[in-house]
Amino acid sequence: MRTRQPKPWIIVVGFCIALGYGALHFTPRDLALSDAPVQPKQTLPETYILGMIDRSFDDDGRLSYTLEAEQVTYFEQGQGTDGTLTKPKVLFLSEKTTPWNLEADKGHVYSGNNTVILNDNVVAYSRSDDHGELTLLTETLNIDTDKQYAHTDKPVTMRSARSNTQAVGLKADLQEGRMELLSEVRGRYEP
Amino acid sequence: LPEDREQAFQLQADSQTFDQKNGRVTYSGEARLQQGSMVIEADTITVDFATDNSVSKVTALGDPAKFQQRPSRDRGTVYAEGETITYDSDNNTVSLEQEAKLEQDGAVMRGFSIHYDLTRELVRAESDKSESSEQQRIQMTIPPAMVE
Repeated sequence: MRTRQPKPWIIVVGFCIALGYGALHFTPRDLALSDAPVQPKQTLPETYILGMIDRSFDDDGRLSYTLEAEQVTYFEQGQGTDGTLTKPKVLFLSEKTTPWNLEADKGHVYSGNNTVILNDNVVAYSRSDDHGELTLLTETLNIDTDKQYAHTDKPVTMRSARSNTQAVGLKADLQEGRMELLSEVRGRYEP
Repeated sequence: LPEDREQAFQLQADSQTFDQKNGRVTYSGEARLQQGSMVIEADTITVDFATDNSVSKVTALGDPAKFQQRPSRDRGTVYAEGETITYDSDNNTVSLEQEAKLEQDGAVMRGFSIHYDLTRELVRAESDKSESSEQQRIQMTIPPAMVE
């Protein structure tokens, strides 16, 4: 039995229909835009504060920490707000050890949780009568303000009166005055 | 060497903890301290500081902790080990506790603890007073060449 071959003209007509459908749907403008980077929806700041000082007190009414910034700009993000800080300064006070000052060029705060992230030229320093000034230098520092706890996975430099120590990674319980350098530790103490 | 004490202390380790209240630093994980020709290697090295922030005492714990130093140019390097090595920077002394051993130019001394005065190059060894068993007594091995 001979198999019937589709007539050539049917193939041509089908191709023309497909071509027409494509032309109607995808104008040159669409094709051009399809590669353009999708611009993030630009959100306008909800609030901004100049010369901000945020003081926090413990249950006994004693000042436990302050957060200052030249400017804070809050953006609404889902449930809470997300604030960017300019020239942030954190001061931790504790009965157990001497006060700690933490400063940076920029920072971030997230409403609803007690996290402050410091970025760019982060300096943390504390001065004690017995051992002089202790300074920590890094690029980024994540701070839990309630626990007065700071950590980073970035390179860290720790300096004191006669010593200079380099390492990678830090965990610092500032309330207890206990610092842990996590890896690749190189220390030098002048005689 | 005599000029060791004018050199900086260089330390390396896997990790370090700093106790701000007591001003004490502990290096852990293949810890190594060097000051000139003096080298201490141990599992952990703890450094205590004097009030002027200079290093006052170094305590090394290991299995064993090791110490070496060249006392002078005309003498051989001293090698020592013990489970605990304490270097007193102020008095320039080294104390080796438990399984203590000290060796120089082939002469070997073993005991429960050995105290070594680096300035006067005096060594005092002690046995373990709590036990009278043989291996806790002082043992000294002096190679023939040194005897003549």
